[in-house]
Amino acid sequence: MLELKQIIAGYGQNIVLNGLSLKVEAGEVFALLGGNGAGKSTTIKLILKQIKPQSGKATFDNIGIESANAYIAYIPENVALYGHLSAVENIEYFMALRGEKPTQDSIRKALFTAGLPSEFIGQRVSGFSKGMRQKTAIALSILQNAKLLLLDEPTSGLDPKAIEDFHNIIETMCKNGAAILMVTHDLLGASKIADKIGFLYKGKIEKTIDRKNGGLNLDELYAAYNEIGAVNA
Amino acid sequence: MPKVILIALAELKFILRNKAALIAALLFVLMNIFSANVAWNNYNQAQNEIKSYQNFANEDFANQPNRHPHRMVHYGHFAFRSQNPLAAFDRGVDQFVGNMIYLEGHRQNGANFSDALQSVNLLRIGDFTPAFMLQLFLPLLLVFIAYSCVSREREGATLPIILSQNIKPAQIYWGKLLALFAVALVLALPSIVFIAIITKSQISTALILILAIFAYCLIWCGLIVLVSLNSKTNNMALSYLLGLWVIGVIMLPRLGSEISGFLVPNFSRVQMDLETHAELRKMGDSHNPNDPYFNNFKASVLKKYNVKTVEELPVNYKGLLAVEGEKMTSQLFDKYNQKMFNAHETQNGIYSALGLIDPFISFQKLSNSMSGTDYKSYQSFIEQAEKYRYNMVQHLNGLQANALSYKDDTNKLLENRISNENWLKYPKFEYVAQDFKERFSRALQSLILLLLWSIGIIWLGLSQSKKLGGANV
Repeated sequence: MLELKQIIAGYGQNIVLNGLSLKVEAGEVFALLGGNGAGKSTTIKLILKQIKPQSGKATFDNIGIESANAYIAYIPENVALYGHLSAVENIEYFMALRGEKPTQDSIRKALFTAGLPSEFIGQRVSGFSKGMRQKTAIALSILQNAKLLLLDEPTSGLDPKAIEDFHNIIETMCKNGAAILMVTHDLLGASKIADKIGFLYKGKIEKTIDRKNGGLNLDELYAAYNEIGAVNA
Repeated sequence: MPKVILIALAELKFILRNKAALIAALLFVLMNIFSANVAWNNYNQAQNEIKSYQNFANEDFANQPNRHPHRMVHYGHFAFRSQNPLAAFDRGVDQFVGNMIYLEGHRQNGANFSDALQSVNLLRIGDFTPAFMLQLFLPLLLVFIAYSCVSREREGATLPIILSQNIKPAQIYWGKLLALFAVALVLALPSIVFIAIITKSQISTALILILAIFAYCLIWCGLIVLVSLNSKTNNMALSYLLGLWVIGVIMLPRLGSEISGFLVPNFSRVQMDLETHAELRKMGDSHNPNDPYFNNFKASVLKKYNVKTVEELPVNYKGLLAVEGEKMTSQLFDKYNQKMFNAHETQNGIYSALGLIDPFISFQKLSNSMSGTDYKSYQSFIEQAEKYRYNMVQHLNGLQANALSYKDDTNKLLENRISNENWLKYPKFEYVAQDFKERFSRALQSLILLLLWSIGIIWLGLSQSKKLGGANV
């Protein structure tokens, strides 16, 4: 379980996260919604240790986030891969950096699970579409046995079929016990796959809607979004 | 496998899959091999010519018939300078100065002191040698190959992914530096092999040169990684690095030359000739019967031998006059030559000091010194040739004083020749190149600067690499 408690963090004097608290349980998708500047990307950076909190506590499965690297996988909005390498080589490299050496079979299997067509597996990723890059990154997170998956605007720019594929993969990963934190502007997408939606405004979650408590109605979500002023933030 | 090695291997893979970089690197290596081949052939051809001309000059001098010794003084001789094999690696100032001096009485010939010799002004597009390739083109090629080594990770957004794999920024820095240094060494390899082959027994010289090449490569690699990690985009990194190359390799050396020339004005050959002749006129004229200096000289000689006229002297007074005249003119020429050498040395000192801010200058100076092609090596040749000239002329003047009588020598009806045995057995001129210690003593400052630069640039890169990881350092 990812737990952020009363986090205050930012860039120098500029405080972006102002008392942020949230929990993402194993097997749960938490969608963090908010307007520009609300602190969505900063939250991701905090978990990735690219910024340090001034106060508050960030833990994963009760250990400090700074020691939880091995459990975390990150998939940015524009999945960055090495264009001169194939999907398999990219995965081999990133896994090697973690000190792991998966077999070719396991890499191919993960790519297949992530939905990358087999004819692209050995090709250089410089020619990959955004969706194919995302699938490669998901395959990487599968191989990493990531217990926490961080997704930054995952469906932005994807075609409907790719979005559907993505939702299916996320569902599978959730069933396998991964905790998923997704930051997004996509209300519709969030309403389909998220278990909880947190509305972030000025570095703090102003409202959380839980699917268990009456489901996620799109109108209700949009109303909540407007209510906290996130749309115009 | 250590993560630094993994990152280095990934960077090498990127470079190897970059066709433009590969072609440029291949062309560079081929050009380097070609330049070494051309330089070696030129060196051997020049050496054969020097050897052949020196033998010809020796034989020509030795085979002169019986003559009056003063005619031999004016017949003169030639001194040739054989070069260190490393002149094929780095021609240094040799491309602007001569390797031959015409030696004759009463004067030191000026071809050796032409304006082209204005030491630090010697930096211009030079011979196509391996040193030239290393000093100028290797850094440029490295810039083109690796300017994006870190900025690419930032621009392509792979940097946060790498960092999220529990990689420390310092590991990224070392990995990139290691890969680039490996590429630099491969590119420099033909030059290193060339040095190893041509130096043969000069192991110490070869080691110092190779160490300097390593340091120079490391400095440029460090600089490229440093700039790349501080640049937000690839284009910015390329622009900064090209600017640094132009400043470091073209502008600063040129500016250094101008500054040293401005602070210590060159002593030109024309100026030296005018001043020397003006001073000579003041000193005295042995042909003038009323010249006070030579009247005093004559009086001191007569007193020494306790005679009243030069005709009574047991030696030929004309020979003694020649000895004294040569001594005076040589001292005067030596004084002006020393003045010129001192000016050039001061200029070179100023230029070398710029190595503090420009490693190109340090590498160039070290390479010149260790290859025996710097100005000091040339000066050593001039001094050896002058010493030989002076001894030879005074030997001939001595023969005139002792082997011919004053009475015969002043009789215009007599030929007054002496045996050609006298020049047949006179020792030949043999240039002795400066040894390792002498060359190394001049290269030491540059070597220290290069090593300090290497350490400094790595330290700076490592400290700047912290920027890559935000708080995660």
